[in-house]
Amino acid sequence: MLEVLHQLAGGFLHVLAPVNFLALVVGLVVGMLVAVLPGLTLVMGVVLALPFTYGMSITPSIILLTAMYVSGTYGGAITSILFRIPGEPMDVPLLWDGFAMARAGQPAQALGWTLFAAMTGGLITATIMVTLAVPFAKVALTFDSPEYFSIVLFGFTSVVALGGGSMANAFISLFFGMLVSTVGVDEIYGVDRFTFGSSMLRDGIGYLPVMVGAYGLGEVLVRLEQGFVSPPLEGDRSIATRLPRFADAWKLRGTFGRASLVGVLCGIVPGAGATIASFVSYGVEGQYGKRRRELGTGIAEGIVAPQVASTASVGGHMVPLLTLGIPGSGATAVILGAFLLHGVQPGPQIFETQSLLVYAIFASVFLGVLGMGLLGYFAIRPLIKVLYLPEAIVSVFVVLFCLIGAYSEHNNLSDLWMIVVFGVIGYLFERWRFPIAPMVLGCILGPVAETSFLTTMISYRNDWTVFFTRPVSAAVMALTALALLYPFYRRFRRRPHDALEPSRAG
Amino acid sequence: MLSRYRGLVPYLLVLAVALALAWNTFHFQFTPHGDRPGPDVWPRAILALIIVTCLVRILALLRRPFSSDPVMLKDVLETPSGAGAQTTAPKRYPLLLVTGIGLTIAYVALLSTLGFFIGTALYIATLIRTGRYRRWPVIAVVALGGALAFMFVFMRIVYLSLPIGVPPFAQVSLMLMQLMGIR
Repeated sequence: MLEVLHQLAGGFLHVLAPVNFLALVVGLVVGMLVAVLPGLTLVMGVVLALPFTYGMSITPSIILLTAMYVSGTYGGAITSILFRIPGEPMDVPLLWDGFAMARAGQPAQALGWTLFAAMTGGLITATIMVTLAVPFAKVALTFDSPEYFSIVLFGFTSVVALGGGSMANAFISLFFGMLVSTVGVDEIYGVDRFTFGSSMLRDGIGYLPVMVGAYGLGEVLVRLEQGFVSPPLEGDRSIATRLPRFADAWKLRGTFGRASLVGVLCGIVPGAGATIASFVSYGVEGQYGKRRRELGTGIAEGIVAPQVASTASVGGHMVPLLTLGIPGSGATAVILGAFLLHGVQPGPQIFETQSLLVYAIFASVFLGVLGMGLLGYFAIRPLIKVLYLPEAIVSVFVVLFCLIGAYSEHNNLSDLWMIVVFGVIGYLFERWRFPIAPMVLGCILGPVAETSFLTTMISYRNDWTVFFTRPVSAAVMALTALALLYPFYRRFRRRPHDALEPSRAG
Repeated sequence: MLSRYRGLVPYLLVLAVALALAWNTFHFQFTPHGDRPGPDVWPRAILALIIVTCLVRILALLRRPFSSDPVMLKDVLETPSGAGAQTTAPKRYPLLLVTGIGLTIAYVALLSTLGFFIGTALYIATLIRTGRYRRWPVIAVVALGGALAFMFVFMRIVYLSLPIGVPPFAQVSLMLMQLMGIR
């Protein structure tokens, strides 16, 4: 433990270096701006920031994206509470009690509870992340290809199973992403797969055009088809923030505890992002909270439960990303992309080879939470101003960032065509109710799945039972089966309004 | 009658593409290495899963044609009382969509001819206008200012080589580059 604290102290010093600190501040501001704007999701924002990291070294790149991720879980709460406009899907539960409290004449208190909850959730998750990561990595060092394949398979399954909506559509989206990752020259045999004689396709389709096109351009096309209709802002509300007294917060310790647990667990399970954490936490409060009958009338518990959980999910997501190289959400998929673009493969070895980077990321989450608090408290007024920008103008710049970002990776115009193609595919996915997140994860993790599957088949002489005879692999396969069966159980028990589609949120 | 089965369209489309690609996997040119799995195994497995999933979904829709659309989060209008959810159907403007896609395709196609500055300024102006924003002075300022800002940031600061176009459009790009001190 002392060794961890020592390394963490080094990480703090590293983050305070000027370039890294600047990346942290920029990430916090941009993340909050992105979350405030209803047309721009947190994942889209992280995707659009990715090209700007090409020229940076890896540490500020990851700090920038992680800071965006952290502050993005809070920014959308402001507009939910003040204007009844959820900046992100994860902020929808805040409409029930946060907006109700604001409408009852206590907007400053509602904002104060949200900020306090986000900071508490963030600090708890950062502590758990630091505590869990090293033991996780030590266990992961013993993993071989069957374990990796089963873990990736579990990730795929849970993304689909927990994503809500139609499971068939989510599976098709996932398989489509995996198929896209097979386009190009095969690494083992050097064989062209699905290239149709095109030199553009021989190079393969990177996950960046898929992500940027589907999330960025696709979303803009969806909103353009709706005529860029922004929801009207409800009058002039007070936008001061009044933090709760410690004694009042202490009374809600049970809510804080439950919500933190839900958030971290939802973060660790691949696929259950901040949105699921937020909804589940609100539901848990509705079942076990002391004032559960008053939920929805504007009480603090209804604000604290979803906000703590959504921010707490961030640290949970970072654990499998750093220790196994497996992203559990759209935003962590982009952060994984940033690692890979800089030639670093996250996994158990990273704690040996890049320990300073890892602990700098941990430290940046702690500092990011504190910075988010300061920003949320003092800079709320200018942040809200972005809501008044015409959506048509914001959207055009989103598209341009998508296109130039993709172009800048290889200085190649053919990447722009990929963006356009995947933008249209992203639009069709939205239109036909196919979730995008499984496609993106399939595209990123498809090669990992293929390589670990083929390596297992070669190493174990085509004996597929090895996935079920090795203890860790068998246990993960059992979890995969559970994840597959869970939606059927849920369908059996669910109420009509439970069928939601939160997988876009990350 | 046809509208009842409109939900089948995406699955039939995906099924057709998957079948065509599955057929394509039988034409991969490679020499097998003993009993090692070939490069066709993985894509074929994925395609098989796609085909099975589509068939399952198509059969389900044929049995219950009205149960096709899952409810999406953004479609749900939440009420403060949590009393339930209603789905709202936003008004759609297909012409705007087609124009937006067309403009984006034209922008990418003409970028190497017009150069980054002219192409981007035109694209910004036309796409904002397509998005039903009508204040022309603002559009002009945003288009010219935005294109210049992008050019400055990406060429001067990020050192990205953006297309300068062909003559006579290249003259404009070169002049601006000279003014910005970009070599």
